[in-house]
Amino acid sequence: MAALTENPGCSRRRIVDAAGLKAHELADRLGHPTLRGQSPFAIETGNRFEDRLKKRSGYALLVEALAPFVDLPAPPDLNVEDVNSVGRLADAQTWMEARVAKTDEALARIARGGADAPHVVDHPVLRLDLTGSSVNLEPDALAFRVGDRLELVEIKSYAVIDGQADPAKVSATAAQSAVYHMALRATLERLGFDPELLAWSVILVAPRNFGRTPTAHRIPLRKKSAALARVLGSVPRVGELLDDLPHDLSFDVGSTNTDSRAASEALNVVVSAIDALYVPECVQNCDMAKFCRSEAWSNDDPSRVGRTARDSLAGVSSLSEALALARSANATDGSDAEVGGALRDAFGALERARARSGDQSLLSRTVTDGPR
Amino acid sequence: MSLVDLILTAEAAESRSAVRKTAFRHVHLDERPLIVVAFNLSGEAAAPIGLMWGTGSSADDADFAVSGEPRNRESRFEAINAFCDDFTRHLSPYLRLETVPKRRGGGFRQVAKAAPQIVVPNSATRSYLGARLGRSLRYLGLGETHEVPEPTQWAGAHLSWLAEHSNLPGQSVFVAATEALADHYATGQSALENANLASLLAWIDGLPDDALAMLESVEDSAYGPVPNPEWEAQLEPLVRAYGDALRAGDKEAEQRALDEVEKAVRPKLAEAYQATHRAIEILRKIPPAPGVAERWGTDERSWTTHAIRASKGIPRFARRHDPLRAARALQQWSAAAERLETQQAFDDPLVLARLDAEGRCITGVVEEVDRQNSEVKPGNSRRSSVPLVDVRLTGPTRLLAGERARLVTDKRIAAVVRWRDEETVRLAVMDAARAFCDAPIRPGHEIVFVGLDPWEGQDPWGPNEVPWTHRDGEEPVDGDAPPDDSPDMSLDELAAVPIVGIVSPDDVGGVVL
Ligand code: SF4
Repeated sequence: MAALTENPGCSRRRIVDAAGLKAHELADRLGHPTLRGQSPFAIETGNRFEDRLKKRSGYALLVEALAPFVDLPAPPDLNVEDVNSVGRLADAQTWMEARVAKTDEALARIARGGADAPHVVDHPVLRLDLTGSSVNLEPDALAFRVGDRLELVEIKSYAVIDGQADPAKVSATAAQSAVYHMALRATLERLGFDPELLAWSVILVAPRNFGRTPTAHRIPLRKKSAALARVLGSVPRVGELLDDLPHDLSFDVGSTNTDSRAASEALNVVVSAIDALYVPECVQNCDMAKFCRSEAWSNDDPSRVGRTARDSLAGVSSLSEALALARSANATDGSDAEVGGALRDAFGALERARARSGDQSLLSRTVTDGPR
Repeated sequence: MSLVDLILTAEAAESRSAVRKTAFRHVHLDERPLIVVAFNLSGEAAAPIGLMWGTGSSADDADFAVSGEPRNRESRFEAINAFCDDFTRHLSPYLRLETVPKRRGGGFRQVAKAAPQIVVPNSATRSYLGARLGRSLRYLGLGETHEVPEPTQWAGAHLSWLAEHSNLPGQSVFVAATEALADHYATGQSALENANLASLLAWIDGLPDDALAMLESVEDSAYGPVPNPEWEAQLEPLVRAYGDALRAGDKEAEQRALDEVEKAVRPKLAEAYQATHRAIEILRKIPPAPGVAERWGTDERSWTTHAIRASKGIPRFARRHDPLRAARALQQWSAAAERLETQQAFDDPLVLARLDAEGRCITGVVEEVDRQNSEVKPGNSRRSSVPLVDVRLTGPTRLLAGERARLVTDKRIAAVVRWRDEETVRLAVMDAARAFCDAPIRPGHEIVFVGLDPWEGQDPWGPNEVPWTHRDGEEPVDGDAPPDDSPDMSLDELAAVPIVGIVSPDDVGGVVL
């Protein structure tokens, strides 16, 4: 999800997702495994926090934390619809279908405002069409009913210290919630209800300060949602992406292939054929990052040092080309004339400064000098 | 990223070796700064599994503390208290105040003799120690909180002050090695990747042919505060064993388990310590820029404020700035950032190069100097000396006729662009004409003017603009104390503040027993 919302222009990631592949498994088979997995301590803490809020306290702690925003009856009057209770079904697919159906049904009851409507929907499963491929979303979030309003809730285990949390984490939560929000609205519409029932925000429930006491904060989503909608509206649909690819392209390079190296190379060819849009932030957001970074290194792609480098070097395909332009004595014409001129000016300024500083160790070195 | 920085990055990538991006060092370096490194248990806001600190060159001589189970209050505080005790002791000589005559207007004022310097491996460790660990400690001993030894309360106050002060651009009291190195070296990778001290150092050392493989191998050894998940997975059974021993009340098993945790944690702390020390030594080799001493003076004045507050007991901090104070602090930080940029540009030709590249300089060779020229300046009735200098440009400029620029080598000297064409610029020296006439400026010499004014813009230290953390330590030795503008709360107020979490007795956060 993060990979999609943070870098929606990347066709590679979207096709990998549309093909239903797990990015980290693919990266592994490509020979570029991510240092993945969370700390066992963090997982334990996170699970324990959510468990305390829900099961262990019979949802009482959650209701209490939400009290400033949502007026809900305390258990046992609280009506909880746990969508997980459909039970384990034969295969994952039917189980998922059953949960989607059950979520739909619970949402419909809420929207109709019947007396039997649940106050809390736990473990909902929402289906969303994301640019041509259908995905199931499983927010640990819940939908609540307050009068005739629905609230989206997200439980996180990062600390909110003196009312402030790590901004990067809050922003990630908002981005993730914006997708859930979109899915919830779509679901309501599909069921024939007014999507405006859903508040344009998410209520974050997280531990307060250094302890385990939950606290709730409302995070507005309008802006994030609008940005998400804009981004998703502007990228080509998966179907269109596929049209541009060779028709016989397949990730299935033969799992029976005993020569794992050959398999990895074949897979490499396939994945490389799909356009990527690598930026350094990929390392934080996408499990394919090590593969794509190594590709960006071998292409000497300017975007590997940052988005701004990519943008200010528009039309220049590699860092060494940028350097050659900077060092060239004469103006070139062609598509990179403007960038080339600016680079030459910058290089001139740098060289003058180096000469002025009189420090030999600062003078520009060419590759023939090699590393010190 | 400016184009100059982009070129430096490309040069570094080409040579697989970091490239200097400044001619001078812009950070103050103490002779023996205190190095602190830390690892925090994931999933917890402030629960260190290990800390190491010292001023020496070898991690073998550094002190360290390890917690067998950071989620257990006693075990956690055993490590925290050990660190805080030393930390407070390290800082106490810096809190000593001297009485000196005021610079202006007679009377006396108190000053701290020197400010301390603390260096940590990366900015994440800095905010961890300051904003998180410091915050978790600073209300201890108050109201309904757990009792902790006094040095721990002191350390909470010091760390809180450091956290606040570290927001000030150009400060050198609480330094992150990654930031300091990245300010002076360009690597061939992204800023995000430069946040990792191990890979920064690898670039400075020079990378082998297969640079990326090398970087990947060092990258995972993060120097804290977040442990690598794989390492934590190895740590987990050891921590569990310690918890089991605690539960069983088996002292011997407890010690054995603690030894095991220590065996796993100490080498990681030592690695981080050693790397931080290396970073300092690398920076030390770069000669300091003139502005460094001036900025350090600002640091010392800020520290004095803290020291004066500390002379009246443990300084207390509000949980958050009120909006007014927050706005003021923000304003001051941005003014200080501007001031820093200007200062560095005058101090360092390589920093100036970024402005030159944007055409904000007049760089060239002196063609002719007319020291005799005199004119009636606007607003004057008498003629005064207005030396003229013609410069043949060696680089493009965007400065136009009528614009002001200052001589880089002597910023008192300001000139106005009289006229210009593509090759030549005539400048008329309006300020400090005498200094200009005395300066050895002759035809054939290289000369640089910059369209930048070190005295314009807001003064970050203007008396009304200065928030409490950076208020000059001018407090009368006797007589009435000025109205206290600190965000402190009285003990009663603090007691009324609901302090939750590991510091509150009825919330046994994370205790696994
Ligand atoms: S890591 Fe690769 S696949 Fe993932 S978003 Fe970045 S470029 Fe796309």
